[in-house]
Amino acid sequence: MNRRHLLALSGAAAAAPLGLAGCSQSTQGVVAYTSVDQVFSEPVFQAFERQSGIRVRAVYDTEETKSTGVLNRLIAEAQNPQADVFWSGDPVRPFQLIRRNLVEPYVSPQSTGLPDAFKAADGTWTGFAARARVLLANRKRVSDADMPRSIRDLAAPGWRGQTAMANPLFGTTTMHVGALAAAWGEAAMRSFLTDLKTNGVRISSSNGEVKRLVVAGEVAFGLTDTDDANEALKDGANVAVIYPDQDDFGALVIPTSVVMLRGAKRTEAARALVDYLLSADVERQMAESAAHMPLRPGVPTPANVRPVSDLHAMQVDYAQVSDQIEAQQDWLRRWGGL
Amino acid sequence: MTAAGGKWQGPSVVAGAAAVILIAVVPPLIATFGQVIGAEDVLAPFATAQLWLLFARSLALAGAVTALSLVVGVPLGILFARAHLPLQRLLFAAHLSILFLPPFLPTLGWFHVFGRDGYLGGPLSAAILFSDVGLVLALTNVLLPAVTGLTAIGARGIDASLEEAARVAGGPWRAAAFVVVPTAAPAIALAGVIVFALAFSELGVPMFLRVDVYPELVFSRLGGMDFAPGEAAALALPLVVLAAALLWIEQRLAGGRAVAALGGGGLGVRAPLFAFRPWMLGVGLIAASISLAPIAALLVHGAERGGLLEAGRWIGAAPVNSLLASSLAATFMVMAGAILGVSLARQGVVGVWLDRIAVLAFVLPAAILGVGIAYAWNRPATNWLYASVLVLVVAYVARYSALATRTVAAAVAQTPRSLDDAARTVGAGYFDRLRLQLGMAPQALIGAFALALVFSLRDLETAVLLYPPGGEPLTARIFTLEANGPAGVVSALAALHMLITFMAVGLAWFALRPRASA
Amino acid sequence: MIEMRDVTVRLGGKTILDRVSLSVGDEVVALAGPSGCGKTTLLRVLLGLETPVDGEVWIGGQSVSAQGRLLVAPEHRNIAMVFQDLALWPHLTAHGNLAFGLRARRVSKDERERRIATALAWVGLDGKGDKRPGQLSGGERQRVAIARALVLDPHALLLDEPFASLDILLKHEILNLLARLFAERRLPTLCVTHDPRDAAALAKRVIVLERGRIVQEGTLGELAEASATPFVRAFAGVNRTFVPDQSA
Repeated sequence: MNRRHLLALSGAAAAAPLGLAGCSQSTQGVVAYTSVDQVFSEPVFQAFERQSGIRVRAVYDTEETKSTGVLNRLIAEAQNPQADVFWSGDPVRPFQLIRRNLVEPYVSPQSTGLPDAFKAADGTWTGFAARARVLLANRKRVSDADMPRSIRDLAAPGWRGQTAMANPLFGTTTMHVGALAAAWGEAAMRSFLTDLKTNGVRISSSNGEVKRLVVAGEVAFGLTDTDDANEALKDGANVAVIYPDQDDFGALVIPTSVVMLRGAKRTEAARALVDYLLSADVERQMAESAAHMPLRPGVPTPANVRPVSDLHAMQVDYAQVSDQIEAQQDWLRRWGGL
Repeated sequence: MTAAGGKWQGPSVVAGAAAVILIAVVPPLIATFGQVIGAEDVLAPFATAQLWLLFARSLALAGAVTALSLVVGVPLGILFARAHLPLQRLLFAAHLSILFLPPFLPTLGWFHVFGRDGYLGGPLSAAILFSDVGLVLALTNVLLPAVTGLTAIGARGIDASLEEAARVAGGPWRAAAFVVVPTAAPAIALAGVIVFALAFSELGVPMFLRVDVYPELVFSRLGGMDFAPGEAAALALPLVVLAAALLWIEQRLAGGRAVAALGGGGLGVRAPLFAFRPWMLGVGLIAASISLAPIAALLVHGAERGGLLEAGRWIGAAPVNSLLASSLAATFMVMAGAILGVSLARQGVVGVWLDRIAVLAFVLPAAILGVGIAYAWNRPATNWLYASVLVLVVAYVARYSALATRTVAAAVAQTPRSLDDAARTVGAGYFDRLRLQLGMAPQALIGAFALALVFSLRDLETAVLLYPPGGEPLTARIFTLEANGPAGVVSALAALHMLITFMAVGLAWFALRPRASA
Repeated sequence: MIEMRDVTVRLGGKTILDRVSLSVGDEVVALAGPSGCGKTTLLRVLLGLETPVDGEVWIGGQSVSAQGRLLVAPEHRNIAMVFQDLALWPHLTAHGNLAFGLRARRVSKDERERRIATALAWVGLDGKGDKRPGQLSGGERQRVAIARALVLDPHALLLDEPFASLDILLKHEILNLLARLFAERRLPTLCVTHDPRDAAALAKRVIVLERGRIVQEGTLGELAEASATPFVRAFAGVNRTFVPDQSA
């Protein structure tokens, strides 16, 4: 390296920060963090941009264990919030933010069409476009007669070592475990998880990996979400999707939810985005692309999406679920060997 | 010859370089470990045997990966560096390519090959893959090129007369085993440290293969619903001891040895040590294949399931974001590393202590460092940095500066101090002497920049936690799309990532390569 | 016996040695020439580290290189060299430096130790076998390099400017050592030197190389009397003052 190279490098390295700092946070547009899969959420943001002319600068999430997650990024940034809107893949993550006083209540005009069970009256969070927890079974390994009907089948001795679920410390499985604790009580939930462990259930790092394992025939069936199951079907995998416990306590329904964040720097644009996300059009988009069930009545859905009204849903109070999640963390870590 | 600079020229330059590293590394470390103070009951897990068993298990697994990588990678590096091999550059580049990707992607490729329903798989291969053995093999596959590459750099850098004298006295094999390898020990030791640190802190691959590792314990406090950075930082405390241990071991293996001989012709292109034999080409082809195979499997899987051609729709500005942040970070790392690496090679106090801090930052789980960076820099006064791509630059420098500094140090350590002394006696100033030392080890800058660039480009955990909204780098985009995105898109973007890395490294080599003297 | 017959070496498109022919019997021959004339390349050809594009090289009666092909690898030629920079392996002790080649030749441990001890004693380094090069003085390092060459019992010896970095007293020490060696062993030896006084001290015959060609050879007196080139005239015309100490 000669002196010219050195000077050129020094100059570039010194000048670049000045230029790049100028490209930093702008007051234009809106900043949205989302834990809804990018493949589904980005087209929604792009549609909003086309409709409103407001640019969306988004932060997306990875599968549960590839990163600390968008929620925890929001918490880590609490001292100087960067995001305006958080679109969560479930309704319990917002409670973590509410608890930490990071949410700005906003009752959107669009929320009036959504059921009360899926929103907070004070506008701290509003749910829409839901997934459900389902069993995904490999048809080559499981005959029609032997298809599982309940999540309890994960612990059935006949399926020892042949089932899978995602790590209950992360993602929607956390919420599912919290919901079971809220519905059954702590003792029954822990007993069930202990049975799962005794039965050799394979713990994956994410719902996507459960899907992968089932599709590949590594396991006979597993517990995952409807959007993962739908992707498997779209890929042409020879799998069956079962909504569990329809004759019993029901399947857990997980609405996505949206919150406005306290300290948002682009309030007007944030409200516009929230209003758009809660619109019937977005529920339709999510139904078509991600097999999410609209919560608003009358939204057209494709044939592969089961209407939520046709589903026996588990009765849960999402606030209680959030409380249970926090209460069970230590036990879950020990259960997972951590 | 320039007149000697003022006596403060050297110290002020070193201080400036040190400042680059300190500013990047120290605030997040303080912010990270500061979380321990005030967090409740953070030391309670240390009373459990389970924690220590998990720690020991992770050490053993990382040790196995390192040992296997060294056993295979050192001879492979000698082969690539000192044998006459047709298609040498192509095979070497292909072999190195797997290092460009986050480890999870090649492992996913192997899953498509050896999973129960894989192209070559069955129950037995699946059982092996999803086991400790599978983890060791998968991580070795990904990290082996670090050993190969650094060994090659070290082997090419040794004094030609040492090698030739050994070759004349004992033949090429003894020369390689007893002279080239020991003399290249600083570079090999560096490779060992890198592989061990990366293998130990890797999270995605063990979780995918369902092998319990210590970093999972740390991650459970940062990635779950219960965000507890204080606990996570406390759990990272043993890693401080680990970093110190790594440094001590490395120094025992490679440090402190004087280079007694002056080299004549050691810097130019010299004849291969080993004449061509057909089996060498076979080894080279195997080395290239084991790197390319999992990527090919990803692409085939992606092509089968569709979406390869959709990659263009999803790519956005991610490649530009990646290149911008990584190139800038690598530039800072090399500029600081060139100065601090020389200081480290000559056992300068500043170089030695900064190296220790930088190695600690490298060994820590990326998520911890990322959270620390957020705490340190996400303030109104520094929002201009945090909310721009500069936060990624800072993050990459914090995490990977040790690589650049140590690569320079390893190369400079092989050049005689007397040459610097000679320059000093004729009145050369600090910059001229610095240029002289770096000129004697031209491969050092290329290697340092390449390593810094490759690792910055492939970074995932820090990038995902910190990238500015709308400014995600390519790795982040690959993994955010991996969640239910078309398999073909993920495969295509992974291949594109490799291609971009190759091009970037190639450009760097072209810019930094030593020119033939007039 | 070392013999080169019409050896031509080309490197990077340039002709470094041009039809060089020489022979060295049981004698010491000095090789001199201006910088860049090909002296080091000539040594490297004899070692087998460079392959001539034409010509033949014979060592100890065996053809080792012919018609552009290397017939005998460097490690099998049993030629020893004392490199200009000594090339002592810094991570090995003096003992280790000597043992390296013996181990390669599968010499038994007892025989190896005997030869190393003898060689170190011969060069006056008894008891210093456990020192690394960095722990030895310049003169001691020179002696180790010589001992390393001799311990292999070579067919021939090459010296590349052996006195270049020595002070006058050390040089006399080493000259005496080499004189004793040549008296005892009568080893074909080719010594590259810039100093005609060293050439006079060691060698009966001098070969002068210029621009890759041998321009003249003979005793210093013959070179002085009928110099073929200005370099030869300058080289041979310098006063010779050193005479080896015959009693050493």
